Amino acid sequence: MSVKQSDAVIAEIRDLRVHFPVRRGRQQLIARAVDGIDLQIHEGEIVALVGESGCGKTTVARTLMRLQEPSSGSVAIGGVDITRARGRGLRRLRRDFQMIFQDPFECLAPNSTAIDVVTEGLRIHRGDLDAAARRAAGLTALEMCGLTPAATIAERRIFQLSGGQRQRVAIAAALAIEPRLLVADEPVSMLDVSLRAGVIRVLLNLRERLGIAMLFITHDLALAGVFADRVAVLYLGRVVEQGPAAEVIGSPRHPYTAALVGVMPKADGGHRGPRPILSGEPPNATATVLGCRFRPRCPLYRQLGEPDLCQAEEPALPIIASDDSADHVVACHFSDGDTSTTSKENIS
Amino acid sequence: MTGPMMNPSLDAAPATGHVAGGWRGVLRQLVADRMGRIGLLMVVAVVLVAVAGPLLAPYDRTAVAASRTGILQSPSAAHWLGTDELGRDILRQVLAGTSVSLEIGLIATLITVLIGTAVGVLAGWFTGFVDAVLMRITDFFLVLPSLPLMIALGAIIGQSLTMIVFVIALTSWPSTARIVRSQALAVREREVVARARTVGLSSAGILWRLILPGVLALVIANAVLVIAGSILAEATLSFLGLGDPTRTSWGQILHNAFVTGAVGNGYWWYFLPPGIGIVIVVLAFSLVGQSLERILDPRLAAAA
Amino acid sequence: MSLLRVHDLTVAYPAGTAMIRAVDGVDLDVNPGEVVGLAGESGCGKSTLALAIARLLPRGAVVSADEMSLGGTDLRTVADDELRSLRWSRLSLVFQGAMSGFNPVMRVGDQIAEAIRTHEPDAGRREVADRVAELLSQVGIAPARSEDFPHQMSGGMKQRAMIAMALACRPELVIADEPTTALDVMTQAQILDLIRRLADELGLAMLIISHDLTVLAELCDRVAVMYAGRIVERGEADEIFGAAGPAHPYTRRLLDCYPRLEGGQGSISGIPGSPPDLANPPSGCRFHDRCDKAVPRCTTDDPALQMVGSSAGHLAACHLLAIAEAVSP
Repeated sequence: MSVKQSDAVIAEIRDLRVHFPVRRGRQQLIARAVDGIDLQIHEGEIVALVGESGCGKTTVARTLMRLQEPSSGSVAIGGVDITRARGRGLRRLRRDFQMIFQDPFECLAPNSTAIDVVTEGLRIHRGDLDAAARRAAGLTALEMCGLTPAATIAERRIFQLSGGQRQRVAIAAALAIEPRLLVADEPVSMLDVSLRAGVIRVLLNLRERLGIAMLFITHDLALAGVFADRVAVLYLGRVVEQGPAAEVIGSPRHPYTAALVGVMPKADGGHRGPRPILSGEPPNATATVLGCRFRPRCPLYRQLGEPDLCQAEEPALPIIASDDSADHVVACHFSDGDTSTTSKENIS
Repeated sequence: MTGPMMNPSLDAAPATGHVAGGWRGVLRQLVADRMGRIGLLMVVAVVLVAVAGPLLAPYDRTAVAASRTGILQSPSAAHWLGTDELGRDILRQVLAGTSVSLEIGLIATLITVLIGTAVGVLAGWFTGFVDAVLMRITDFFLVLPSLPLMIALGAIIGQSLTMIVFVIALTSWPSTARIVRSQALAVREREVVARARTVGLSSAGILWRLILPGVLALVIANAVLVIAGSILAEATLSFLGLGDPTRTSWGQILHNAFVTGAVGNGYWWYFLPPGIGIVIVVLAFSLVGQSLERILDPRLAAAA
Repeated sequence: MSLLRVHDLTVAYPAGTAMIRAVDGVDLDVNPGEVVGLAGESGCGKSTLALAIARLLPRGAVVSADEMSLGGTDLRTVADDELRSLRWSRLSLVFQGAMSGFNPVMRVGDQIAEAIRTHEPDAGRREVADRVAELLSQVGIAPARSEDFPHQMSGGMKQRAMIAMALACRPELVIADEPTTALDVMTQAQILDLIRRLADELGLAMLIISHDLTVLAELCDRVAVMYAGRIVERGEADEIFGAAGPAHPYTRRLLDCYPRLEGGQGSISGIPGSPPDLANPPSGCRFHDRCDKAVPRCTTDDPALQMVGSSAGHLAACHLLAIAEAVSP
């Protein structure tokens, strides 16, 4: 339970699709990176988007930030459809949604000073502030991100800072303009394990004090489980399961989620017994699969004797599992039961 | 995955275009590189001669010989490099020619780089239709032959060094544009630019603050090479008689030498000095330019 | 009798006027049939250690060791041609980013075959082809895929092929540096499963290097943890990752950094500060400035590896052990 969360919806993604034309040899194929995603993020909420490579999570993030144009569907932030906005109008809207990028060594200009990076957004979006006010706001932001003494760090150049410090500068820059939504694309994956907690705490702090909602993209299910309020699991461009983080990971209803939970790396307990590892790899986004796209690798499909329904019809959200909370939804024809027992064994 | 080791001695210039140590670091690396060091010394020498040269030789450049015995004299104590067909001191002309050649080289380069960078950056940033149009224009100018153009323009405008500068720039900017365009395209794909867009920076802002600085290093290295090329081009054009007979550039001296039959008659003091001068200057800037390219181009640095 | 014996290995790089000791007096042993893990974060020296053993360090590195031998061969002084024949037939390597291991313009099967033929020139064509097919199916790749070029294979498949190539000449020791980094978690589980199975079936000795403790917990019999160029703890994997937990504060804190669901948001933990500058290592214990249990002695005396409790195989370089010993009855 968190402070400042409310039922107000900050971001609404409706039937988002992002398709890329791809040429392979002579063929003209379509890569369906994002193929119909619906997602809501409430005020002050942290939603994690989880999945393996190729599931579309990074494409969703970039489309949300309008670095990528959607093929269809819409994204509304603060009630405004940002997919229709262009030019100066779009630039003004950007104040409400900011992004933290994965690689802290690639996304900041190395010769800028930290204070320049942090106040850049203010220069663009807060024309009402003069230089002194901007600097003050920038220093406050740096402090809130744990970069102290702020006045000293402010004058350092980016190339003098470590990966963890750079990420904090990037977060400070984002929070300085007070966005309503923060999209964090794997913000700690490139940092050493011991440095990740520092950055994660900064993000949690922001949510506590400023009520900023977050979309947290990660492949690390354990981190998502500990950090986020809600988790959405992606497979091949669609959400296969969504719900409160503890519930989705504690009792996964979709066989893919169950498999991911089963192989979650653990540092204690030494060798583990056998657990279900999916064979093969996710097909790439150009493949066309009839019916449910997880069918080729689904252990449940095989277990149930390959029911026709899985090949005939693509399962859609929401199909609510009976004994879970109302917002735990699954896209599977047969989600009641079987997967939960296998996964519970592995969580202990 | 974890971040890279912060070990300065093992770091190559990273992909973000940050050169370790800034411009002072570049200078240091330039001096450390043997070719660069030699080139730099030569350039400094040439510049000194250009500036101070006319003060070194006491003769008035245009003073002609009093009598026929004063013409085409081989080197002597009085005239270190002898005299030409009008009795003028050749050393004085060669020294004066240094500054003229440099002047032309620099002005032509400046125009070339300004046009080439502007076109390259705009084409690389906007891509699509704008890129296509700009590149077709570039291709058109790329294939223009300078010589016939010079002759034609010379007939229309009249021969002058201004015209030479104009023609050199006109035929040089396309290759600069292409180099700058490639680099601009690469810079455009960097995460820094993506982030700048999400922060709300306008296209103009990104061009000015990210793309331009990102191509600057390469532009400078390229510019130094263009200087070498421009000086050589001017020398060629003047030698062929398309230059300004009233200004003493090395090419012009060579032209005079040729026309006077210096080569056939063995008046080596007439044509060798300007020739050697051209070689030295062009070599100097080429060495520095190539060394700079090696230092500043991240791909070449990574391969080294 | 150890297969790989390394004693007091030091690797230093010149940087300006100072020497940076990336590896500072490290001992490491691998017994036949044993999987040993080397853990640590970036900059701790673990990859440098692996490169030093394989004699693949860049020029300019200064290597010194009291002993560094594989079987009976002294790796410090072995001649170049013997080193070349040793590599792959007795010691093979699997590096991170399998893409760098393969020649992009040769078919994968051909590259494995070439590795075999280089070390066994008398082997017939038929025999080599059969070996390649057998290797590929051992790592879970359909033998028909030997005709593929590296770019036609996915990341996981390339890593399997890399393992197949490493096993081609039946080496005594395999050194794997970050074998599953950059792979998806499901693929990582598959590869770890594969490595474990092969190690058991073939009785391989392996040295696995990873920054990811979960990988080592999965694979290793014994683990050594590196920090700032030194080994700070070593012992049986069961002891270090088991219920009693590690003895060294760094290892303990490092293990805590891996999120555990039961702990909730409050359990997210890290280690404040950053690793020391190796050009100017701090006095005393190298971890003391980041350690929450440091005592005054830690700032002045550099602790040596000492036994943890009564188990001879479990060592940690921490003064607190001696204090605990003195206190307990």
